[in-house]
Amino acid sequence: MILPRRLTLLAAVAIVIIAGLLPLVAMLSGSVTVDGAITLSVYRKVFAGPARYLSSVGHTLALAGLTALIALSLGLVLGVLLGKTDLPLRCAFAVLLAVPLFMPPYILAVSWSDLLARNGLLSSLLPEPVLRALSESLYGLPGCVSVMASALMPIVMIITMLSLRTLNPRLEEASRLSANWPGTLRHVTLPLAEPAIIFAALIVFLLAVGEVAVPMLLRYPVYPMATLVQFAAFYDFAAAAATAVPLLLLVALLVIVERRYLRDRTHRLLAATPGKTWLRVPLRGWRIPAVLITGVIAFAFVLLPMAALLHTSLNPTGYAEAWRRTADSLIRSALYAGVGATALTAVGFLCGYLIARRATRWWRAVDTLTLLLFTVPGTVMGVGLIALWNHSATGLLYASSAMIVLAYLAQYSALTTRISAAALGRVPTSLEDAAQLSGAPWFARLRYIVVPSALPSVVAAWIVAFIFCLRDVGASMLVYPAGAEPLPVRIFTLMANGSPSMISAACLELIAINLAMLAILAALLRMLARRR
Amino acid sequence: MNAVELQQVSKTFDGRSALNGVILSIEEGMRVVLSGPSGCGKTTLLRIVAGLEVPDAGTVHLMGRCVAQAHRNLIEPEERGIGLVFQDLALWPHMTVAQHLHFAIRYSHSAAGDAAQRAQRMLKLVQLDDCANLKPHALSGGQQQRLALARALAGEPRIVLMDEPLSNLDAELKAHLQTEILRLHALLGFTLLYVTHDREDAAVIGTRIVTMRAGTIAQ
Repeated sequence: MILPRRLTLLAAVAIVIIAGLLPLVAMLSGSVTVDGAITLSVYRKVFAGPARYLSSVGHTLALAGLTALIALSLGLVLGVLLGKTDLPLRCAFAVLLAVPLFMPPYILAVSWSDLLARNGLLSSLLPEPVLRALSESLYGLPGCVSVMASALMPIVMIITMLSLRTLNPRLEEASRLSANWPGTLRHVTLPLAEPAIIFAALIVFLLAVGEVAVPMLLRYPVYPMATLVQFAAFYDFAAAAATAVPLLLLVALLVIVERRYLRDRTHRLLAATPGKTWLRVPLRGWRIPAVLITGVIAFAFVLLPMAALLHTSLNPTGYAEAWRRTADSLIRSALYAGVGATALTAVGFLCGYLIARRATRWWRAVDTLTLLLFTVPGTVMGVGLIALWNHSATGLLYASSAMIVLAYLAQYSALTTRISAAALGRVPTSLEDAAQLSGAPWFARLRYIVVPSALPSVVAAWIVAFIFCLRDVGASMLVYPAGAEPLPVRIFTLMANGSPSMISAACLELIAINLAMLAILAALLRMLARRR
Repeated sequence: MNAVELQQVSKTFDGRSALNGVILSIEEGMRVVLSGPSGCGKTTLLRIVAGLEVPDAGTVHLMGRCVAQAHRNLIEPEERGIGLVFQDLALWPHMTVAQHLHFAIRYSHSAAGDAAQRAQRMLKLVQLDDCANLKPHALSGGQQQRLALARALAGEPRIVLMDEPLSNLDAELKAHLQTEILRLHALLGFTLLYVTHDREDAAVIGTRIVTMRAGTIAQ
């Protein structure tokens, strides 16, 4: 029967719409409604002096543009080195360089601040004037760009690696008959991977546009702070919604551009069957220089900041105090992330199925919607969720932890959807067809054929979702129920009056959980691969 | 009675016609080979009979029942009681040989009786009883073909479709499996619609050969 399939897929899409799209609609509606009448008075009031926003808009575009540029340059080089060559230790480097993606970016800002502090790790190594100059540049555009680029560069690196490995090796072999490897990379490999690489840079740009925590910590005023200020400082919800709208429009515009020019090309690439025999470029005499370059980047972007956190946290009271003040949030965060990841995996799997199998005519709209929601700034989504659910009729829900799970569902369904769609794209439809002709109804086919065939990706989707839920700050900061904040929000608020050693210890707690989850993912995937 | 009857069946993909007003009747118990060059619509026709594609025009009748009409499957594939051997075999990589058959028997509509016994009988029939606990990757090419055949037959379907099941096999193995297919057909009496572009294969398997060209039945 086709009805259960359609109803189930519809239910999954409905969850994404309720969690993510309706809040944005409610926010837009709230910004143009005053006392039940439709008006633009809020916009007129908020944007009466547009000049006051010009500098923050300029800062936002500079931060996002430079972050995307640096992340693209480094991520592309690293993606090619790690995903396409015989670079020694490439697996270890890939894992190490991906670590910043799995923690809230503000933790990197804290670690750089620790590193350049008067009694920090570099204080004994660098002369005082150099340290002071570096410290001063941290608080401003250079610092924000460095932190955001190191936090988001792994997106470009990972997508480049994946896209290079999903290319058909025959296309490169055809080129190798007449061209050397540099020529093949330049004229065949990279042009084929180009849409995916541009897509990655666009995602980095959009995520940097919406970032609030890092610029707040590094005292670099950006436009998204305006929403937070209107909401948290002036308690003016309509104004907060109105200031969020331009950001939403910018994100929507860029997503439309992506859909228009890259849509099919990136999707086809990421869903393609990975070649078991992808071709590897021999580095020959460049192996040692390439290892050194990769090592220096890994040291500067990951090891040095982590060492700084560790150095600052090594205080007799640091860990004890961190545990005392964050233990409840830690447990709560793990619980929220567990529930959120489970819901995201289920919804993402069904949406991924819908996209991979083109199960309905509007599969493309679902793909676009999840991407849009992923790139909408967390604060904008938070304001939207409040607009939708903060009413007397839904008061119980609004005051509960369900709001945090809704925020996760709203923002991260693109991750589990894309992981599932890529995995299901590699499962031949004939496997499901064969089960169908055996008489199996859709749920049985899903349970016995489709899910087991894509099991490693289901596990990966759950853990990636767990990590992203655990690192969420933007939306959860606005919607957590009173006295029940998750760990990243608790750490962020403790920064106002907590000791540096306690803050660093708490950050390391969060990193340790994420690394443990990554280790579990690696072990599970290895176990599943062995069982096959 | 006709086991399969197609009336004016047409199908278009992205504006390109794959089938164009196909009329075809196959009597019950016959072995019909559908032959023709690559891209002439053989596989599309097979998938429409199976219900995996929906025709844009025309009707499909199976054992006297109308199962599909323009843009609509009246009976879904899992309800049609059809066996299909896929060109890529479509073996489930995570299941053992026995699990493949248990799955097919469990959800089949026509068959009754003890599933384990029936699976065992089917394994013996295709000479895979020594491999019951192996997964597809551990089987030889010929064993994989026989497993796909056993799975298609496990539900005791009255109509069996085969989509170039012996392509890419060496001559010796192909001859052996042709004999197997004929033996199983004689034993179980199903109606066979067999797609191939190999003339020798067609001559051995078919009691009737239907040739397709550019989406239509040529002869």
